[in-house]
Amino acid sequence: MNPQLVYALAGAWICAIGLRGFMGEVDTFRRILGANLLGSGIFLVLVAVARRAPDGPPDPVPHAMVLTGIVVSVSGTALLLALLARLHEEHREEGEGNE
Amino acid sequence: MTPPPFLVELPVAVPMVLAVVWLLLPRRFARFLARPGALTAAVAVLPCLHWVWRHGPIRQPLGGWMAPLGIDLYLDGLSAFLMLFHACAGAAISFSAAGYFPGSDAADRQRTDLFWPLFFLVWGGLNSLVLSLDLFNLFVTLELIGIGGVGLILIRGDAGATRAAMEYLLQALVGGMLFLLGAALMYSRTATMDLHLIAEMLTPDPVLNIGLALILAGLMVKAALFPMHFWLPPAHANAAAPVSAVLSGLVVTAAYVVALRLWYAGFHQLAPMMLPPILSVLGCLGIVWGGAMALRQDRLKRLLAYSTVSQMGYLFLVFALASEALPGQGWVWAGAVYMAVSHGLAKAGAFLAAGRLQTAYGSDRLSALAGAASTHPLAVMMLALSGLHLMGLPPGAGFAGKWILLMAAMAKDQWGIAAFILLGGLISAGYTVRAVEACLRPAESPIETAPVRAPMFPILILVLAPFVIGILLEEAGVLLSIGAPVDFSEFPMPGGLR
Repeated sequence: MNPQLVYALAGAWICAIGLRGFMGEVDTFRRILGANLLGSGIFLVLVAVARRAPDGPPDPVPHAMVLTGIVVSVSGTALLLALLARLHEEHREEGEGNE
Repeated sequence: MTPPPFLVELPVAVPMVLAVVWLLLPRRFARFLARPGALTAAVAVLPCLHWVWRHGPIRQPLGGWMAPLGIDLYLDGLSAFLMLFHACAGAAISFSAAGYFPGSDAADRQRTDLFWPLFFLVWGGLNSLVLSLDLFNLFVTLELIGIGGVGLILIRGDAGATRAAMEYLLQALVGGMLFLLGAALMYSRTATMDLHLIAEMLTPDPVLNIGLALILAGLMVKAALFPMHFWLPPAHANAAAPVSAVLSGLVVTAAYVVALRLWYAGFHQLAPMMLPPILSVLGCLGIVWGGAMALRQDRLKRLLAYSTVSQMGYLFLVFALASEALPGQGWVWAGAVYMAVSHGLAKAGAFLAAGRLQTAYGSDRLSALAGAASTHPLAVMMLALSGLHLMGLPPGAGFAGKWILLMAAMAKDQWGIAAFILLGGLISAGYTVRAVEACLRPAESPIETAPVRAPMFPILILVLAPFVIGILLEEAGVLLSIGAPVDFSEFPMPGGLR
């Protein structure tokens, strides 16, 4: 078992945890965290995939993909959290209006 | 013969540049840019169309980097046809969009200003998606369209829209991530992201099989195939009318087209035996579930949104009919594209017509729309006409697509699929009648309706366009066959091919 495979399997395991969190949880914040974890797992798989030869230099293409993927994941998560905060805000205002 | 410079880049660049310029210009100047800009973006497709028709497909390496390292844009008959579809729908939506945003106070006006850059961003993303042959570029364009779509839903600004947008974004992100994981697994075996290069290297390999499954799962989430459709109805029903038209007409279709392209590029070889039946069962369930839910809705826009779920189910039936190499596969492929485009145009028209009624009556409740047929006869007629396309009545492109799929299903002895194709038509007829009947009921008391500023002719164009494709079916088939990976020589007929 070479280290590359260990990293790839660990990444796949993290993906599974993230996916379970996304699909199994009811709380939206936990689902957002699940989606984020899924992304992290995928990035680990991609980094593991980049090491093609045991001794040679790693393939830079997957690294570039990880960078783009992180940009998508971070901006998506930020937007999700902003929306969640806005919803929370609206709920609180409604609650105050009722009192 | 070398193509003129920037031929292929133009349909992507024009909407993207418009989106950026819009944000940079002062608002009062930018507003004048909307319709001329949309027309320019639509016209930018015509050189591509002309070139493909005359000279055949081209691969355009970007920045001088060739595949496998670089990213190529690939212009073939399918991408030209779909860009023409985006141009037609995009221009029509842009000409009516301003009428749906009541620009009375400053906050409303600010909202309207948000529509245009996001609209152009999504349009550029869609064109870029149909031109991409690179798995990673497909991932990026799918995310671009998804995030642009979320912004568009949020324009309404109420709590329902915020909740729907959040669910939509969550699903879009996870779908995109599954797609990326699948692409990463493919890359680990083939060391390239280029579809055509990967297709040449496909061998039976569990890693590649899992990669294909993950990519398809991601696309199924984005195309709202049953049971991954739960995000769609709230998102499409809570958005403003022109936004619903963009999302339901163009965006879901784009995700489906990616699946279709992958499958026919040779990825179907990787599919295990039971995958096509699973896809067709999900498609049939989607037809029935979406249709049954559409029949139960009491709001017009929700009815239309569930109808989209039902129609997407149809489109996934093609994978069961395409699993073997058959002569005449080209027509099945073209039939799926006809149905997707016909649905996209008709559904965009239907949402715009529904938006007119909603503006006039202040609600899209079916019970509130009594009397609409006498106050807004044209809008109700457009709704009925778009329903005809969803049912698949001749001579529309939807009819042609459905007919071809039916013939192919019978040719392959897939009688179950043939039955569901016919049943889906009946269900579409049911919910269309339900929507139109609500408008035909006489009003109990004279009703005050609000004035509608959105023009009628864009809806007319959207609803008539599938008829035009249906009449020019042979030409459309010739265009789609340019650079197509499938054989167009025979037409699938029951008993004709085994």
